[in-house]
Amino acid sequence: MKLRTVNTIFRKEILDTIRDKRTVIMMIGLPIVLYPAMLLIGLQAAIVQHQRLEASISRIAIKADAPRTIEPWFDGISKMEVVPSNDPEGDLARNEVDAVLVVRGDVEKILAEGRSLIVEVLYDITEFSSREAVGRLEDMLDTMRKTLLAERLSRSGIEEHYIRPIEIRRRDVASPAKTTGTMLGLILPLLMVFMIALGAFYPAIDLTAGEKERGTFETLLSTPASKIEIVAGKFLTVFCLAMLTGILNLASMAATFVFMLSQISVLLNDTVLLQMRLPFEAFLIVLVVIIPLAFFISAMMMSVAVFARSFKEAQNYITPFLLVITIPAVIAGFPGSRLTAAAQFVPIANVVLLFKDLMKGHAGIEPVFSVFLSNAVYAGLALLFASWLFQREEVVLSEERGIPLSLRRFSFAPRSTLTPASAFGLYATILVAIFYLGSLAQQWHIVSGLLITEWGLILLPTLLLLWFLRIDFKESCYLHRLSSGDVAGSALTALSCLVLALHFGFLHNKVLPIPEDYQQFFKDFFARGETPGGLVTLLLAAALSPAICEEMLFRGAMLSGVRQRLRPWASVLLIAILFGLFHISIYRIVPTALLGIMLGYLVLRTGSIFSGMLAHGLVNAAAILLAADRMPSHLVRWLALEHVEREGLPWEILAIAGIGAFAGIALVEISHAHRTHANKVNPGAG
Amino acid sequence: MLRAEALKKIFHATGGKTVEAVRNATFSVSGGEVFGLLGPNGAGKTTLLRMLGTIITPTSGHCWVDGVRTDEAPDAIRANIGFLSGNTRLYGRLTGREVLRYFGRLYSMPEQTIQSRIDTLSEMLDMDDFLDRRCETLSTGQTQKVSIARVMLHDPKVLILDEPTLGLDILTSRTILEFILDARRRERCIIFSTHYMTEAQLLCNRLALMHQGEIMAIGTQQALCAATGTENLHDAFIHMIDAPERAIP
Repeated sequence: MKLRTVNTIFRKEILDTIRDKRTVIMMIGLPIVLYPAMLLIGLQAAIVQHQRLEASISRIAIKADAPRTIEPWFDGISKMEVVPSNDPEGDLARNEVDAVLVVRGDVEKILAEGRSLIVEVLYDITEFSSREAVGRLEDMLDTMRKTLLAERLSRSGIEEHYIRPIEIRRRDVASPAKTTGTMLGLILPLLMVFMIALGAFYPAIDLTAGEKERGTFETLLSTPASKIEIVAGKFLTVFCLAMLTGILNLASMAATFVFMLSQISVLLNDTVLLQMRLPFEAFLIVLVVIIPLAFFISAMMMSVAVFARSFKEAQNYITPFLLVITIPAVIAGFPGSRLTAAAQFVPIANVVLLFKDLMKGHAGIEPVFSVFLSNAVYAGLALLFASWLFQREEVVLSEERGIPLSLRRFSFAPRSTLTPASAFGLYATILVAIFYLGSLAQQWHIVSGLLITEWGLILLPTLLLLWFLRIDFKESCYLHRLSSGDVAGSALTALSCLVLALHFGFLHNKVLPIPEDYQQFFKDFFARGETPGGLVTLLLAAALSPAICEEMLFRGAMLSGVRQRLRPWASVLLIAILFGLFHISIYRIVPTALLGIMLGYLVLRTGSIFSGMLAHGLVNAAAILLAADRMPSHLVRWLALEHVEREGLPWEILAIAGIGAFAGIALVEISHAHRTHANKVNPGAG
Repeated sequence: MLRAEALKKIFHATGGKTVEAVRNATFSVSGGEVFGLLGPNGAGKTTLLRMLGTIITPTSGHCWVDGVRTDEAPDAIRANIGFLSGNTRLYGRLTGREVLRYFGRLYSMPEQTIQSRIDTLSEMLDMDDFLDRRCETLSTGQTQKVSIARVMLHDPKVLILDEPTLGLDILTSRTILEFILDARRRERCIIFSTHYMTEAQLLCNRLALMHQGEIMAIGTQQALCAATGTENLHDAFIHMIDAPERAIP
C-alpha cells in the first residue's frame, strides 16, 4: 500500500465532498447554526411564556356556604383576584376562572373549635394558567396554615419545635459538575452517536454508491491505485468527516448548553444552577473514545452503502442501519443502565455507558481502556469487511440490486488457504463468540461449557468458514501424515517444554502473582480428576478437545493464512501472541504464547497439524494429571515436582529438560532435512 | 505488446444460471497497430475490453501486457494502460484540470511532468477555454476531450478505447481519431471498439468481429471481405452475423 496514493485519494475526496452543498450543510450547517438556534428559540419562547405567566393575574372562584368569610383571605395578596361566579365548576371548564377554592362548613366555627378545615382546590392540569393559579393558592393557604398554627400553639403554650420532634433537612452532596454531568449523560451520548452516524452518512454514500452512480468508479479502477489504497483513502475521508461532525456537534452542544444554563439560572435566580459546571476533562476523554466509534460506524456504513447502485438506494439501506445502531445507544441511555464488565464489549452501548460515567465524573482508566480496545476490534473487523467487499468486482461494479449473486458460495474461486484478513476476521469473531456464549455456557456447567466452546465455537466456525470460502482443508490445515521421527520429536519437545514451563510458571508467579480466587477456581476445577470418571471427562474437555479444535484454528487455518504474507518465524510469533490473548486472562498470556511458539514451530517444521495436536494434547494432559494429583508418585518425586509452585525446579532437572527439548527439536530438524532431501532427489514423492 | 489467450468471462444471473459474456478470446496486438473490435450491442466487446484493462478478472484465460501476465501484477500493469469506456466518467464537482492532476498523481507522475503534460494536451485538444470549469458543466464533446487527455496523460503503451467517439459531433470525432492515428505513429498499441464502419476502415490495421461473446473472425479488412465474399466491411459484418441463422433450414 502506497501512502502517497492513499493521501492523494483522501485529499481529492475531501475536496470533492466539500464542493457538495448537501454534505456541507448536513455536516457543518446543522450543528453550528440550526442546533443552537433551535434550542435558543425554544428557550426564548419558554422565557416569554414564563414571564407572561408570572405577570398574569389568576382568577379564583370561591365555592362556599359563606363566600364573604373567605374573601378577606385574599386581601393584600398580589396576582390573584376573586371572581364572583354562580357556577364555579362550569366557569373553570369554560376557562373563565383559573381555579376554584371549595370550602365546606362554617369556617369560623371550625377554626374556633380547633378542628381541621377541609379546603379543596379545583383546577385543570392541561392549562398553564390553571396550574400557576393552584401554585399561588397553595402558597397563600400554606402561609395561612402556618399563621393559624402559630396562633393555636401560642394559645396552648406549646413551643413550635415541640410538634416537630424530628426536623428533616436534605443536603445534596453531588458536586455541581456531577449534577450537570448526570443530566447531560442522559441525552448527550445518544445525540453524539447519532451525530457521528449522521456525519458519516452522506460521505459514506457519496464516496461509494454515489461514485458508482456517477460512473467514475471504473475510471478510478483503471489507474494503478490498488483496491486497498482506494478503500483506505475513502475510509479515511468518511472517518475524518464523521469525527469532524461529531466534534462540531459536541462543541456546539456544549456552548449552547453553557449559554442556556446561564440564561435559566439568571431567570430563575437559582444558585444551584448557577454553580453547575461542565465536566471539561470528560469531554476530552470522550473525544478519544469516540475515535474507534467513528471508525466502526464509518466502516460499517461504507460496507452497507457499497452494495447500492445509487445514492437513493444506499439511503434506503443505511437508514435501517442508522436505527439499528441507535437501539443500543437508547437502551444504554436509560437511567439506571450501567457499564458492567459484559457491557464494555457491546459496541455503541459501551461508549454511551462510558460517556454517562465520565459525565458523572467517576470512571476509572480500566473501562476507558477496554471500551477503547473493544471498539477498536469491532472497527478493525468492520474495516476488514469493507476492504474485502471492495476487492470484489461484482460488488464494486455491480449493476444488480442488493447483495450480488456473486457473494454466494459457488462464485468463490477455490483457494488453498485463507487470506490473512479472513484469518483475523475469523479470530475476532470467535473471540467475541467465546466472550459471550462461551462464558455463559461455562457458567452453566464448566465441563460441558468447555466442550461446547471447543467444538461448537472454535472448530465449527473454522470449518464452516473454510467450507464457505471453498478453501482446501488439507492444505490450509496442514492435514498431512506425520512421520515416526516427527512423532517422537514432537512428543519429546512437548514434554521437555512442559517441565521447563513449570519452572517458568514459578518465575512468572513471582512477577505477576496469580490471585487467590483464580487459583482456587483452578484447584476446584482439577479436583474433578480425583475420581476415574471425572479424570476421563477432564482429559476429554481440557486436553483432547483443545488439542484438536484450537490447533485446527490457530496452527491450521490461521497459521497457513498469515503464512501467505509473513515469513515463517513472524507467522509463528504472531499466531502465538494471538493464541496468548485468546485466553482472555492476563495471567495466561505469556505462558500460552510461549506454548504457541513451540506448537507453531512444530507444525511448520513437520508440515503436519498432527504434531501440534500431539504436543498440545500431551502438555495439557500432563498438566491435568499433575494438578489432579494423578501422576505416578515416583515420577513426581524424581522430577522434584512436589514443590514446584513454591520453589521451582532444581537445576539438574532443568538441564535434563533442556537437553530433552534440544533432542526433540533435533529429531524434528533431522526428519525435516531428510524430507527436503528426499523431495529434491525425487520431486514426485513429496 | 498485448496478448490475450483463451479469455473467458462468466457472469452469474438469477436462479443460478450463468451467462458467458466472452468465450475463448485469443489474439495479440503489437505496437504501432490499431486493433478494431466490431460487433452488435451485447456482443461482449465491453466485457472483453474491461478484462484487458484489468478492471475485471477473467473467469479463465490470461492476458499479457508488455510480456507481463496481468493477474500477476494488476496494479503495476495499469500504469502502462490507458482505459476509456462509457463507464469511465469524470468527477463532476472537480474541474478538468483538477481531474487530470488527480489522475497524474494516481499514476505516480512527478508534479512537474503532470503540469507540462496537461499544458501540452490542453493545447493539442484545444481545451484551454474549459479546462478550469467543473466537469459537470461541460458539454459531451468537451467531456470526451478531457477523458481522452486523462487516458493519454501518462502516455501509456497500451490504449484500450471503448467506443471513444460515441455521440460526438464530426469535429470532435475527427480530433479524437487524429489523436489515435498519432498514437499509432508513436508505436502505441491500440485496441478499440466501435459501431462506425468508416472509423474502423480509416484506423484499423486489423479487425475482430464479435458476436454473442465469441470472436467470429480476425484479419485485415481485405481478408475479412475476401473470406465472406463481400465488397465492404459493412456487408462482411452482416454476413458473419447472419451466417449461423442461414444455416438453419
